[in-house]
Amino acid sequence: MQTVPTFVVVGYVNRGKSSVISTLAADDSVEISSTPGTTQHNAVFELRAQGETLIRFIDTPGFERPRDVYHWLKAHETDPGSRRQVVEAFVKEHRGIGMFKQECELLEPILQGAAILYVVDGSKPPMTSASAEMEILQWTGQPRMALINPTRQPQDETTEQQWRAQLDQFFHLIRTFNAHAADYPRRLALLRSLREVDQQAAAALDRAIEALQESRAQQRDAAAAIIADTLTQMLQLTKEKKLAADADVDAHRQPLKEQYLAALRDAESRCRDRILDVYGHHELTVEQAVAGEDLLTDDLFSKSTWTQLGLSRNQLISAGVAAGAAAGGMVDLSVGGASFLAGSLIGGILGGAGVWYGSNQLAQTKILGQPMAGKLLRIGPVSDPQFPWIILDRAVLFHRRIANRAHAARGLLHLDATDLENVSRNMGRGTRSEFNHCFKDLRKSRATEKNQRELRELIAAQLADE
Amino acid sequence: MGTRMRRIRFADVIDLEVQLARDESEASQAKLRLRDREIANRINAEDRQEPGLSLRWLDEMRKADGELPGQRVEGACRALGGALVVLGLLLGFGLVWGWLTLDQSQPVNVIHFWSVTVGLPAGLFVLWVVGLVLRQLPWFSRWAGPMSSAIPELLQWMLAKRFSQWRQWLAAAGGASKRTRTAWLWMVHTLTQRFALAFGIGAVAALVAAFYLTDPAFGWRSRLMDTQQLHRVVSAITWPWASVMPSATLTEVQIEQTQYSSMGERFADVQAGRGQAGHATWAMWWPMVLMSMVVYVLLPRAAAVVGTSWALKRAAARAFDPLRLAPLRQRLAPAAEFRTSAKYDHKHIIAQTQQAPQAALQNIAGQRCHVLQWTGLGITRQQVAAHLQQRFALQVDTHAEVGQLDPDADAQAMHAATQGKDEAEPVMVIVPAWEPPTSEYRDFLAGLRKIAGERRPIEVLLYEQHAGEPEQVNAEDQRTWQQMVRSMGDAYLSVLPFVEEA
Repeated sequence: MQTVPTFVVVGYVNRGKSSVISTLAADDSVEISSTPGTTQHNAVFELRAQGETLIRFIDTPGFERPRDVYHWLKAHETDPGSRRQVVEAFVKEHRGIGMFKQECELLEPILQGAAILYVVDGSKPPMTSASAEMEILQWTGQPRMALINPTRQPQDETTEQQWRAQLDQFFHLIRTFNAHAADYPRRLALLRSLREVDQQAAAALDRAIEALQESRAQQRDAAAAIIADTLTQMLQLTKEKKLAADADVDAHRQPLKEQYLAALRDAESRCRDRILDVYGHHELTVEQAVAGEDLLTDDLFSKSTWTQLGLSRNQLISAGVAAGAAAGGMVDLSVGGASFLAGSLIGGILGGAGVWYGSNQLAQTKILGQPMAGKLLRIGPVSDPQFPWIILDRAVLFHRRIANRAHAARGLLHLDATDLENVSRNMGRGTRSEFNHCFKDLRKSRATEKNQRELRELIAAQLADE
Repeated sequence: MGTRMRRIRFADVIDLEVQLARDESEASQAKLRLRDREIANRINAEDRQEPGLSLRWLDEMRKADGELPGQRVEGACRALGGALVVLGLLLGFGLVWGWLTLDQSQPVNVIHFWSVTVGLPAGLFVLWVVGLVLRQLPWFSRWAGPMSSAIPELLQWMLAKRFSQWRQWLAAAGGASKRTRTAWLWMVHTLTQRFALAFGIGAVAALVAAFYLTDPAFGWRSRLMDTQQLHRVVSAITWPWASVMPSATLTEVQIEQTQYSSMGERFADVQAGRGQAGHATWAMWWPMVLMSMVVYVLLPRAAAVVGTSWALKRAAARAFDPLRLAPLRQRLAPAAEFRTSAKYDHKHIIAQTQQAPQAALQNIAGQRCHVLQWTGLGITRQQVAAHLQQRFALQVDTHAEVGQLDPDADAQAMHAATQGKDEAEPVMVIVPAWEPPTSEYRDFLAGLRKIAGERRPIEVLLYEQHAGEPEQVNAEDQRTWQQMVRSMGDAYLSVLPFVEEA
């Protein structure tokens, strides 16, 4: 029977073992706490693909009394060749009872053949407890790798060197892995380096890496579909209110507009929740930032959002001119060029002017007559040509931040202006034109599945380029 | 073994839209994930390829929620289709039977009869095909789009009148019906083509029945064409089968023989019984008419029925666009996922009980103290002595390092610091603040209390450093240590940062 390659994550209490697991598993439901001893029992994490378990990680409680354990081992050592047997004897004697319950819990899977991932905090200097832990792990004789996980800012520049100097004596491989900042490529790199620790697990790890890459593509596609659906929904959204024939329309206009804007904000917020869920960020909360401080969490309709995101005024107008000229060109074509390109010229001017004036108003409010008397006040759909670009930019930037966020990192999302790379402004002209066509069609009720499919594909390509 | 994937039906498209619309409005993503994970557990690994996976998911959703309207709507469409087929049969049969049997005083003018029963349906068919081809052109699609969606919307309106569930869905799903517009359009085409085929079948059946039962006479008269011209037209019409069925075409002579005038003289001659040959002459047209109806009406419409059914299936399959269903698939069958087989125990080592009064460092100024310093802190004895003098006005009497690899050395240091010393002289234990207060530290403090006596003040000083210099302690670390020390319930044990808080 083929056994599943297993890695036991060990270390002193509160050294970020669970953080490493959380980031490797891309799941923020892994319990992480600054309170020591959050992990009381071994927790097994299995990477599964197509119903098969490829690798297994065991999150352990951590060493509580490493010096005492080492002292016991030393006291019972008969010769250096029998060290593993001494560790086995230790576990046998203390399993489930007494003061070494947690040490036994973490040593048991190692003695059953698991490889060791020893996690240390690279921001603090090594203490004697670490020396004792390293000795104990070496005594087990299992393949082992050390991970330097700086949980805070290092105390000084030499801290990591101090660790490396000590770890070198006990471990086959040493890597620095900041679980709170590791993005997807670093996560894969860590899995690749596990191959070097346990050669027998290489094939399973290769399959695991393949599965994770496939999973990543799946997540991207899911996010693209969610963003496309949201964009479609937001572009087609309308709000209506039936009014009596003699009702004061102006009194109802503003409340209806507020409802409309709230519905748009809500749609974006739900889109974000769904993306968070796709990427396994179940516990992360996106909170509203102070206006102008954080573009990603700033209000959708804030001035800073609208000035820094979306297309530039020139890009918008040139897109309008191109679309108008193309429409006018059809007229020129239909009269066999007898119009001397007047159609294109007029179309271009009208298209540009439409963008110029249309970009000052999000959506039009219309008063419609009702068949049974009365009035119908309707707002929407969105007519501002900039709006879909803003939504697209915010969605893609949000995705970028989420897709690369380590799952051990808990707290609020921030996107400083310095991080900002405007997605739509930097897009190729051809891609921008394709997006423009989609947006134009989707704004109208005649939008077809084909339009939506095209939009999904365009967005998927944008996410893939990141 | 995996079950064979069933075909995608129209009902699946409707239910998919309804369920996706509901899921979109669900506030809790966790709830959806949990629900879909449970469903995924019931689906075999072999069935996890699209679109089988989404279909299985829909089946499970239907089992769980009988409210999904797809099957009822599809049933209604099927019933409507059945009604249209019956109507088509009756209309086709009634029209032809009536034409051929109600007035037999004159021959049936084959030009008129052919035009109505073959020419008109064939023309309508050509228009339909041209319309389909033109729809592929974007400009035509934009122009005709609202019109082409009018009939599907009318059908949806009728269904909304009939089914309250459908009405609810239209309200809940909002624009979702637009996403299935193509499927709806092909559903309407399927219904209309079935009607047209049934009409043709009814017409053919009536023609055959009338021929055998009432023996109608076919002739022709026209001021627009002469015999030669009509022969050319007939030759063109019968060209597809002329070589294999010569009896279903007519020669110029035969055409000439079946011409009659409005005066009805020749017909009168036949009526008078001018012989068997004459009778056969008037029956020469019907095989040609019959073949025309089969070739130009029935076969194209049969092909249209097959084609529209195929297009409906294709549109239905396209509604299951893998990219669109990617979020669902990601929930149901992630390419890779981590699963935990054990739950975390949230009980913390440090129980927050026994809040003890903090009496350790009261009235100690000017006294002597004994320092136990954790090894590896990187601070010298002189630095410690100077700091304690400055901060607490304490004089360091003894100083020892603890926490070395051999735990027995700790006990010796504790004895040295406390044995024979005044019980009022405090013991200052300097520990690394960044180290979590594990059982090892707890054991150490408990052991020290035993050796030092019940009332000797013990002060845990949390040491933090940056670039080799003492630094303020992180608030979280301090809180953690305080929790541990308080949980020991020792009134003469307390914790303070080595560097005074700013």
